[in-house]
Amino acid sequence: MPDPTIDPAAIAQLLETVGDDREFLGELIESYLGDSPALFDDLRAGLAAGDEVAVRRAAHTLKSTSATFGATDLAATCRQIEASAGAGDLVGLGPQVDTAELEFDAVSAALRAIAGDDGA
Amino acid sequence: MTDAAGLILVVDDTALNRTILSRALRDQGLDVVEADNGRVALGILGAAGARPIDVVLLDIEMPEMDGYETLSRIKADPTLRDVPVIVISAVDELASVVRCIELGAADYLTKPFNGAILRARVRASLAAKRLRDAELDYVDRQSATNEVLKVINRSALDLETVLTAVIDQATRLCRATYGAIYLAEADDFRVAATSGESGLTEYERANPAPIGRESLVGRVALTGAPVSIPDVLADPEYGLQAEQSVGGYRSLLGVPIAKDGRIVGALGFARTEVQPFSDGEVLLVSSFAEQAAIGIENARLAQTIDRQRTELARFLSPQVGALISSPDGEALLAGHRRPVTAVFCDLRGFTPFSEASEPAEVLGVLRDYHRAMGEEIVANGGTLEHFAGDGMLVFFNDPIEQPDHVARAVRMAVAMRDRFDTLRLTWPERGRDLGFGVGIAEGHATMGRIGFEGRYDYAAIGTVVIMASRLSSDARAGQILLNRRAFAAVQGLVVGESVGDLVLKGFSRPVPAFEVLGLRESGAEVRTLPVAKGVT
Repeated sequence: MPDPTIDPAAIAQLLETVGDDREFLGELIESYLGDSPALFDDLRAGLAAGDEVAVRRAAHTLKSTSATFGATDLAATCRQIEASAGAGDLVGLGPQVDTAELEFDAVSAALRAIAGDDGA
Repeated sequence: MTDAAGLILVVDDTALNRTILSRALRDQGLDVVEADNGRVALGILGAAGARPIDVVLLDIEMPEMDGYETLSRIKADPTLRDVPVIVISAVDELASVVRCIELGAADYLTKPFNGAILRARVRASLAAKRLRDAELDYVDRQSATNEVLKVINRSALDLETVLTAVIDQATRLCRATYGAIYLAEADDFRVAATSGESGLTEYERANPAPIGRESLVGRVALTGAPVSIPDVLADPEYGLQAEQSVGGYRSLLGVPIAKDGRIVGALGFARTEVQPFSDGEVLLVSSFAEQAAIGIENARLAQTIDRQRTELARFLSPQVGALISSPDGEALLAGHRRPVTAVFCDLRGFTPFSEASEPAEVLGVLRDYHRAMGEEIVANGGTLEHFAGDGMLVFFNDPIEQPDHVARAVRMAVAMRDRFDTLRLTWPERGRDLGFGVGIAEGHATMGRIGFEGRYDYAAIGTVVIMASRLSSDARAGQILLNRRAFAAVQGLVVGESVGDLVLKGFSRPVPAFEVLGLRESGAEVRTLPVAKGVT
């Protein structure tokens, strides 16, 4: 089932990189889904504390790992947050983090479907 | 070789990225170590004794120490700058790529990366690293070999210095924590040189390795071939547990030192971590075993020559001993003719004395006599041709030329007579009746090596030798007899007189002979010598 939140080409590339091991891909997805909420926590805490470096770093990591799974929209949102924080501008980032979180929910569902498909 | 696959260091603060990269690399048969920031990565790269990293995959955005800083430090370190670094980052601005390449990165990949491109880039960097390693290894081995050869050249006599140079270089090149050279002695192998700090040396000196499968060296001796023990703790036959607990070693390598197909020793290397020695390292170390064999052989030859020289010097003057051992020695031994002064001396009454005395007494007297006479021979620069029982033949002017050779011969004879008279009084009753007679003749002789393989003598052949011997036979106790040529040469030196024409065995005509009564000191004062009484 095609899903616009995930770029199938990215998943195919990742799968090829890990030797077409679908089980391993499932573990990677679990790991991504498990680790990411903490990064959102870091983003919010950083915003609350006005800590630009913390925000930039958390956004950078989310951008990188999300791109690995082909979560193109989420990665793009994280890139904007990273760029703003890198420029020292945390004003108005709250709504963007909200957007990212919504995107992450969609990505989670899509990735779970992929992981679940593989299990089936 | 176990290192052939390559060891890749993956540096990324995100566990997920490390997991994906490690999996992709391991699928290629590569070994991987991981670090979650630049500081940790530098620690791994700089760890002493560990297997060296072949390629670094480096993330940029990291806490503690970022990729730029890490890359700068790697390239600033002479021991690390040849390790290729592939930057792999989600920082995809062109400026970042340019900056990394300028800092010395071999390549730059953006995340998410393509597996095929990653593999190709890593392979290319590995190939470059191998080439560079081979180049450095070659230079390193050459310089190590040169170093050892230099030491062999400089200190051939000092085997320990030579072996220490060999083991130092070999231990360093094969990245062992401890190295030792063992030499075969009777039934076991003893440590001759070591490299690397370890309490092992002391233990090994106290506990030589027996021949057998329980020890590394014993196994080398048994098989005559290189022995690699990947992990002593996992080797059921390895039996030196006490030694292992002293040294704390795990992986061992031993290679034999062979000479003419015989195992004369072994080189042993140890690592404190389980890190088996590669085939390449076996080859490398074997070349050092060859150098050790050359060193051992050279030292033995040098010691033999030195011993021969020392032995010779006990009878010849040291200069003569040195000359015989020198390149000119061979020419001298080949034979030559020149004027010499031959001195023959022996004891009057020795045969009855030796028949009537205990063997120990006879040998004691002879020992005293030989020692005293030997000292005078050396002091005057004489060459002892041979001695048989109480008789000695000494000649002068050969192999070293001595313009005053007759004078030397006469001074020696007079000194010998003095010494003999003092010595005689210390001997037991019967020995005191012995007398000392000398014959001195000057003339041409053929000098050189005579005899056969295994039993050669440096000898003088000619009438002059026979003449000296006959004059000595004719001399009474305490008498020094000279032929005419010898007496003519030392007239200014000695006080002497004719004893008439002697009829000597083997000479068809009577031979005019002269007796030395004493020496003129400084050409003026006359010192007459007491004439010893004794059996004629």
